[in-house]
Amino acid sequence: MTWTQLSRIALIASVGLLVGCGSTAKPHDPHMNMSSTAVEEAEAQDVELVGMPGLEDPIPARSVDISALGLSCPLCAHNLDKQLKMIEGVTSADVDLSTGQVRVAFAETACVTPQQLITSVKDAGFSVSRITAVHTPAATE
Amino acid sequence: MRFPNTCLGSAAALLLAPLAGPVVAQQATNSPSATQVSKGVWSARERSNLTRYEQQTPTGDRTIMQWTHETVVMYGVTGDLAAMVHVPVIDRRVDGPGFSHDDTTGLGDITLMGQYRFLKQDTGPINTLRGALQFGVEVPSYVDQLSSDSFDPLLGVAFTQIDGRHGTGASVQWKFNTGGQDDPISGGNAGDDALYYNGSYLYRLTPKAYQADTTASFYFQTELNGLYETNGDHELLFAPGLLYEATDWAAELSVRLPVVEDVDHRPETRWSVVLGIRLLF
Repeated sequence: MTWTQLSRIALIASVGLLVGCGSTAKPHDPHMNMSSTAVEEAEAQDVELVGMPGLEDPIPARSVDISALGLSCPLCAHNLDKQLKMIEGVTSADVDLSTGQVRVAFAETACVTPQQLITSVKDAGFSVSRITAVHTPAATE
Repeated sequence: MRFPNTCLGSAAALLLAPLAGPVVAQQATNSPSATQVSKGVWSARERSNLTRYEQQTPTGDRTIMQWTHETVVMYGVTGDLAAMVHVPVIDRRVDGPGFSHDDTTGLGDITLMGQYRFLKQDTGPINTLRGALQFGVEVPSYVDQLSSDSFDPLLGVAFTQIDGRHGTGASVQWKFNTGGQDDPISGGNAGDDALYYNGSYLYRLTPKAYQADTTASFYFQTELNGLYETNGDHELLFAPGLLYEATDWAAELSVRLPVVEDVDHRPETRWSVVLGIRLLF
C-alpha cells in the first residue's frame, strides 16, 4: 500500500467523521435575546444606542456594554480589546465571547463618544449592533 | 449585501480553496484565510515545515529532505487592509546518485502581500463570513538553487466562515511565474504559472461553548491543499492537524500527505510535517 493510498483512506475517514460532527450544528440567532422592538430598531439603523444622547455626544457613563458581532475566537477577540484600549480615556475592555458583550470602562475625566467606539470596533474588523450605557453619573450618586 | 444563509458561504468556501497566508485566528495551518489583524496591530508567525520528496531520475532515485522555516509578519494598515511579508529560510539535503548539489542552506524568495477585505457578514457574536482579495509579489533572494531569480506576481481570493464550533475556509491563488528554478524541488517554482487551491475545515474541540472567562480554544483542523501548474503537474495534499489558540498566541501542528501526485517536472511529495506559532502584539 502506497502513501497516496493511505492518504486517501485517511481523507475518506476524516470526511465521515466531520459529517458526523456537523450534523449536530445549530444555527445561531443573533437576535434571540432581543425584544421584537429592539430587533426592528437594530435592523432599522446600524447601531442602537441605549442611554446615550447621540453618536457624537460624550457618553454620560463611566462604562458601556458593546454588543459586538463576528468575534469568532479568543485570538480574534483580543484584536478588539487592544483596539478599544487605544482610545484615550478607555481604562479597560473585557470581552465576553459567550455573548459578544464587551464591557468598556472609562477614566473619570474621559470624553469618549459612541462614534469613537463604533470606529474602533470596525477598525478591529468586527461589527456593532448596540451600545448600552451601564450607569450614568446620576445613577451612581 | 446579505447572504441568504450560512450554507452559501460554506459552499463558496468549499468550491474555492498553498502559500502560507495571514497569521491570525481560526486559520488552518497551510491555507490562506480572510481573517486579518486589526488597524495598527502587528502579528508574527513562525512556521517550520519538514518535507520529504522523492524522484526517479535516469541516473537513479533521489530523495530530498527540505526544512523550511518561514517568518510571516503582518500589519493592519486599516480595518480592511493588511500588509504582510513572508521570509523563508531553507535547508535542503539531497541524497542520490548523479546529483550535483547535496546540501544547500539559505534565504528563499521573499513574498510581499497585501490583503483587502471586501466581504464581512457578521451574523452573531462569534459567527461571521469574510472574503478577502490577496495580491503581492515574490521577490527573488538570488540565492543559488533556492531562488527563482524572478519577480513573480500573485493574485488570489480567500473566504472564511465561522459558524459556532465550525470554521470553513477556501482560497485560490494564481502565481504568475516570470522565471523559475533550473531544478525545482517544491511546487510552484518552475517557470510555468501555478494555481494554488485550498479548502479547510476547523472544528472547535473545546470549549463546547464559550464562557465569559474563556481565554483559549482548541481545534481539530483538516485541509486539502492543491497545486496545479500549467506544465501539467498536479498535486493534492491532505493535511489533518491541531490548532490551539490563546488570546495573544496560537500553536499549530499539521501533517501533509499526498492524495493526488501527478508530477513529471519535479520530485513528488511523500510527506510533510508543519509546526508553527502565531503571536499577536
